[in-house]
Amino acid sequence: MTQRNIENLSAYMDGDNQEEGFLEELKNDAELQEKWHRYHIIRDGLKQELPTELNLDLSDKIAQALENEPTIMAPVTPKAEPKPEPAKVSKLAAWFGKASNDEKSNVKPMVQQTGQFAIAASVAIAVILGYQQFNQPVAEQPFNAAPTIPVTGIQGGLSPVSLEQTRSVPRTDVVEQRRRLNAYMNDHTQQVRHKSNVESNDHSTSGQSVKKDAEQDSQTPESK
Amino acid sequence: MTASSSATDWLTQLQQSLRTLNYRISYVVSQQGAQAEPYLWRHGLVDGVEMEHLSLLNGPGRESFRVGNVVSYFEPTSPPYSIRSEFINGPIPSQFFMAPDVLSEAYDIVLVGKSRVSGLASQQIRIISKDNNRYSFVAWLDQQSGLLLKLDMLDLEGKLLEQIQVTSIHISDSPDEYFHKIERDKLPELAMMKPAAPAHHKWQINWLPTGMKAIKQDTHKLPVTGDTVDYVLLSDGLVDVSVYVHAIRGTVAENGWLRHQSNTLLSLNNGKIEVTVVGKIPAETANTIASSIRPRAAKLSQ
Repeated sequence: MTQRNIENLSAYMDGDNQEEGFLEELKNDAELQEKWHRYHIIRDGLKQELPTELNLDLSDKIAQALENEPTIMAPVTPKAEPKPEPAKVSKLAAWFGKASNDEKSNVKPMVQQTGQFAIAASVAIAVILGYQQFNQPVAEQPFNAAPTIPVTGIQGGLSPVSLEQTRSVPRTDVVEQRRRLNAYMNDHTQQVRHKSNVESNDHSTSGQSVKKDAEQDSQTPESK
Repeated sequence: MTASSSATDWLTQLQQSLRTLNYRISYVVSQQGAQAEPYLWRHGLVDGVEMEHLSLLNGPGRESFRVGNVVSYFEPTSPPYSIRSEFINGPIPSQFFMAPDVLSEAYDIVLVGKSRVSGLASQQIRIISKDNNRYSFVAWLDQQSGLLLKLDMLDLEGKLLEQIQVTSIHISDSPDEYFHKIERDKLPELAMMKPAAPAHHKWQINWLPTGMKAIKQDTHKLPVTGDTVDYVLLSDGLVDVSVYVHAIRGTVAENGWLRHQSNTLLSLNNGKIEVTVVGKIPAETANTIASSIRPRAAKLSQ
């Protein structure tokens, strides 16, 4: 992925005209597509327009990025030499290619990239946390003693979830709990959507036969 | 429709109009504690084939297309896919697209009166659960076409939980030009699900609201967590309820419930087994369903 591509991607997102053939390039570059995806999530986050079902592997990636961050950043610090302007670094790296100071010039753009990404990632987190606080629902439901926790849901909208708890739980449990709740909500939507999508010779009656089957199965009285 | 039509006739009229007319409808969905969501909905008969398009207009959007009995979903969070279905799974309950007689097993359907909605004369209909343990609905149907103009979902105290309000409705003789732009062969391929082998769970639900039935059951893995769960899908025509049962590993889960928009999610456990119920039903009802689950004693004892 070149700097030019990233600039194009950014321009394309803003609706500015982009280079001829960039769309083709985007279609063929998985890495670029991923960036496209992330940029949109970040932008939506900044605009407070995050969908409730924020793609879950994002959090994995953030975690990964945060984990990797210190080890990559470390080699830079000991050097006291003045840092060149970031944009120049990557260009220099590209120009020099396999020059003698090959290693150095290759490391820096990577640091720069990761640094950018880490900042972007932390923005995303901040937005999500902020989002929770701004959307405290009116407390009028049972068990309203505890804080409300939006889980990432499945509807297309932007609304948070209010979670009633009988007591507050440690933060890590909350994250785990949210993951589970989210899994259930997602699965429920998928199941409902797929309820008529069953392969059968005669699809118009397939629902019916399943219905009878399942009915007998789950409604058999205990006495039988 | 004549003045003497019964409430069921109105629903039949609604179903026929939904299937046979060419229309373009804008509506807004509001839910408690959520932002309003505007939708654009088109339906047309193109060369005898029903085509439908539903589009969420805010944010990243969601697009669904139906051509005949194949529905394609385009959503920002997952790759596009198609499934076989007679209707798009959207905010309007799918039961309205089918014959209303199923509904009368679980609900009483009552004509209420006339009023003006979306600038049109409308007929008001109440749909109330027979055993009063599900949410009730109030629908306003266009006096002329029978199409839905407004739909309220009310909780047991009569408080508004969810509302669909049509803001504009346009019925035409010929299908919307938009449908000619759809390139049918570019829609995603049909993802078929194999009919699940009828799973015989080692437990059973001993109480269900009147008219609610199990329509599907299997054992599958949850997305995200990858937990394997025993699963039953319940339906009374208007609302669908999922029941999950799985063994608890590691940390002990909490008993509790939450409401996500108008969905209730309730989780009960006895330390070993966790039962989770999800659906648009009151928490009390979810709790009764979950508490009625017992081991399938019959087979073990015989």
